[in-house]
Amino acid sequence: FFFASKHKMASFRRQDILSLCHLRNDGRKQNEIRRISINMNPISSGSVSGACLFQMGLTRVLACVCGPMECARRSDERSDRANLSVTVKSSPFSSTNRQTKSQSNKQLLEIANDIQNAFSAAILLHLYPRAAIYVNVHILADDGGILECAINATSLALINAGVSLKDLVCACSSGLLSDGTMTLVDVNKQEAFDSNVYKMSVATMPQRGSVILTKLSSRFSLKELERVLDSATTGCRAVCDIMAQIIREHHALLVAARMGNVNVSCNALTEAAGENGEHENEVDGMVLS
Amino acid sequence: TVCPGDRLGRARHFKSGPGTHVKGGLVFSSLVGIISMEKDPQPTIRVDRSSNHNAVLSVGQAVLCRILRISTQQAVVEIVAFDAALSEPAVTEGGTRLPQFRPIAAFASATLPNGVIRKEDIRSGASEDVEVYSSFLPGDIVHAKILSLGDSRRYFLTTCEPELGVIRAICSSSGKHMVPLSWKEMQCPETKAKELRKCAKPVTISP
Repeated sequence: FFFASKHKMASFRRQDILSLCHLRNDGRKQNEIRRISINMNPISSGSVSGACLFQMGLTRVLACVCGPMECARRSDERSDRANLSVTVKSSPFSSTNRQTKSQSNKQLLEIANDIQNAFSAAILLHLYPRAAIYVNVHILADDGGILECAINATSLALINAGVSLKDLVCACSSGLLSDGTMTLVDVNKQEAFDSNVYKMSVATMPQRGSVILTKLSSRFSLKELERVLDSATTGCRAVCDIMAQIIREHHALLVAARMGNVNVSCNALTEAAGENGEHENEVDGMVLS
Repeated sequence: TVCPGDRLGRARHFKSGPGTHVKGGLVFSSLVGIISMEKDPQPTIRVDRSSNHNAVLSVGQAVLCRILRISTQQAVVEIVAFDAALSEPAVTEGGTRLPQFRPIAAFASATLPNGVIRKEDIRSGASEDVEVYSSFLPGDIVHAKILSLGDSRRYFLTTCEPELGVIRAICSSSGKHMVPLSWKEMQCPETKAKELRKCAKPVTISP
């Protein structure tokens, strides 16, 4: 029995990180990301410039971008670049315990700060002097990986809003098992809370190959860093492939609609809901290394 | 269709147009859009997006504003719309270009940018005889131009040209929209009462 000999913690219980056949608690392999579902047009009102509803597994995040527009307070204006302002809010029903006082606190503020730092590196801010770009992120469901999901959602929302970016920004997390045997890509909530998993979040600009954000709250040795970073970057690449495909399909639909050509062919992977003009894409995200 | 970060070409061969940026000798796309190339004066690559308007006000831009309050020295306004005709091809008729106004994006009326039209900027010429009360009243919609970015609280606007001035005003007695009679008078079609305003010269549309 090959599973029993390899891992002491291998068993049939759902709580275990790796069980039979090295499958994780949600049935994924160690290098698979969760199923991604993107809605490029969640908000139909004209008050937001761009929005995106991004879903990784059970985690759902909505990002809305207003801008580039006049600063709400002229004292916030910067003469040579845009002012990027990020707010992250969480719905009371997002987590397992209902929280009406949205953990306004530190975790969300920290996420907002991380997003702001990451996108200050990715947006060409100097193209919009004296303007303000407001990003509002709402966490609708939290199953782990809200920072990564928020970054991915913001990236697509900015693209929808027409803000100039250096590159797509994709984020993914990677967890290292405490016995150092393997890394898990795209860590969910149950795995993140397990004390045997050290989680690191990474955001990259895939086509440029540069890492713009890494976040680690535990400790492991420097030798492991390369492995974890590698696996997270591979996860980012997988997310990027899906995002790029969705972007092109969405754009093709827009162009077709503008030219009056309403017949859009559907292939097996995408479904277009025509009534409200909404377009939801579900693409399976699987990485096989 | 290109995504941000897509490589478009070498910087040696192409100049980077709007929607692209250059890094390390290569031209990359910054937007999601359609690539196009212009041949003259230099081969330039650009990425075009359907709607690309920059909603930050600049000096010399024509705007629509609503008068909030007046004093003896100035009229305080909130800027409601800006002229987007410069960034998009406008309808030109008889040499005059029709302004296309687009509303300013703002979260609430309270956050609309404020402006001020000083007494000396209402009319060109001598400003001693100008009365703010005879030029604008609160509630009027005025076509003005941005004179200066001003300070942290407001822009400075001007209505010195003949095409600038009150576009829409409501008669104080009947509540109906008034019709301009001359550059300094408006008349209510119902009560026939005349009120003093600095009116904008109507744009003639040739058939």
